[in-house]
Amino acid sequence: MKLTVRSLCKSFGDLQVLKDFNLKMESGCVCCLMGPSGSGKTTLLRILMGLEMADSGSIVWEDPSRAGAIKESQTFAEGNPRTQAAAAGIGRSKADTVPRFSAVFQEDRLCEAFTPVENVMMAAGRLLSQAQARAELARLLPEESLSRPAATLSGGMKRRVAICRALLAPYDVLLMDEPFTGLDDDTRQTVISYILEKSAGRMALISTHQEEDVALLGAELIRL
Amino acid sequence: MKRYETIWRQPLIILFWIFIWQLAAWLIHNNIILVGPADAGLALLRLIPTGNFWLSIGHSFVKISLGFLMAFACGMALGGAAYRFPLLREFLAPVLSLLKSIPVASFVILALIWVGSRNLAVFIAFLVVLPMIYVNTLAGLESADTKLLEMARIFRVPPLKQLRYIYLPALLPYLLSSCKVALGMSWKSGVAAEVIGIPDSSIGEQLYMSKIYLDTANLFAWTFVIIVISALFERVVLALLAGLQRKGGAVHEADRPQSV
Repeated sequence: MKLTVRSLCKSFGDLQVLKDFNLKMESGCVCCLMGPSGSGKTTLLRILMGLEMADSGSIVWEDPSRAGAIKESQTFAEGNPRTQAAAAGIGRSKADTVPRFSAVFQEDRLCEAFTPVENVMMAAGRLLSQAQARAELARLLPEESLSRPAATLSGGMKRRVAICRALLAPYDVLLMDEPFTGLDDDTRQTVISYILEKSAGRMALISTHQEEDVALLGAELIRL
Repeated sequence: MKRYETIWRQPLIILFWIFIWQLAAWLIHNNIILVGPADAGLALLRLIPTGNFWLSIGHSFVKISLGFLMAFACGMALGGAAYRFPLLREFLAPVLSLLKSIPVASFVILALIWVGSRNLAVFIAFLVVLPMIYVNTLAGLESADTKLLEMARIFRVPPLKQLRYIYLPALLPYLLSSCKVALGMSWKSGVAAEVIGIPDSSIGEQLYMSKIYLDTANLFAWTFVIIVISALFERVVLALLAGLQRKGGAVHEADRPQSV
């Protein structure tokens, strides 16, 4: 999988959050996005996932490993209907579109009434058995917390469930928006090791506020 | 001590009002205007062993609950379809506004012409309950967390799983509260329709006879029966929905963490 972002711009009213942003990444590459609050980290991740539309620029996803070397490109320009369709997510739900994303959002976005195991199973589909999901979750969370509704977990526990869900779902590209929020130092190190293990060989773009995370992830640093 | 007081408070309050009712009956001393709880109870005891009593209850129960259940199923299906297809929602809006504002009595007269008195209660209960379930189904589905829906889109969660994990938890509280109102309304309107249409062997017919013979004791006894059946039906339906809510993973407030 290859990603090429060219001259991406995005403004909210008068506030420009992304200006001529360029990026090249490929499978096996882990990049960390750093920048002060409001610098456009979340916006960039949302544009990459197709949840937000850029004002101008282009995003090209290429998967030479698949038959026919699948390529999907989005060119953003105001009033361009093709771009709007792509940004609205039309066609993205089809199994053969590239890439398949997995994400940790800025918020945990868990189904609060369901247990961590159920939250993971919801995203993982048939790739994972319930016992496997439980065993994977137990690497990051106390065993007793796995059968409780997510709403009853602490903030740090919820974050770990969200991370686990993202890593156990099928994906080509992993996008994480400040995944270490609410985690203490020891837990953060465990989580980082887990991320590196589960995302090996795939593309990962992670936004963070701490340079230490970049070093621990062995990631390439991108400043916004 | 406090718990002991709480347990006895409600029955004592009810006993107080029954006493006031009996006192009023003694003071008025006219069994046509008002009968006391003792006379109403005796009338009920006289009714219970008769076959017609159980036949009337069975007839009205089947008709009204059938109307309720049909409206529940149709309301949910229409609400779901209107959520999925906004154009359908616009098409249905004037019809449902009309259903909500037309008086039940007008419907009853119309229904007597269309379906006759036999299925009158089914039709009326259906028409009264349908808009309530439809509106609340739509509101429940629309209350589904958009952030969770975004998450489901990114993870490509199949529609059935989205229904279970995202839509049902949002929908069930709306459905529960609308059912609480709709169940009571279906019984009130269903029996009212029977009183106007007088179908054979129905609670409505018994109430009508009480009116014809100025038998206030029987009227009170039948009213008590309606309240009990309506409450039992409400309990059963709400327990089923609450069970679904628990199975769907609803969280009790007590389970929530004190601090995050």
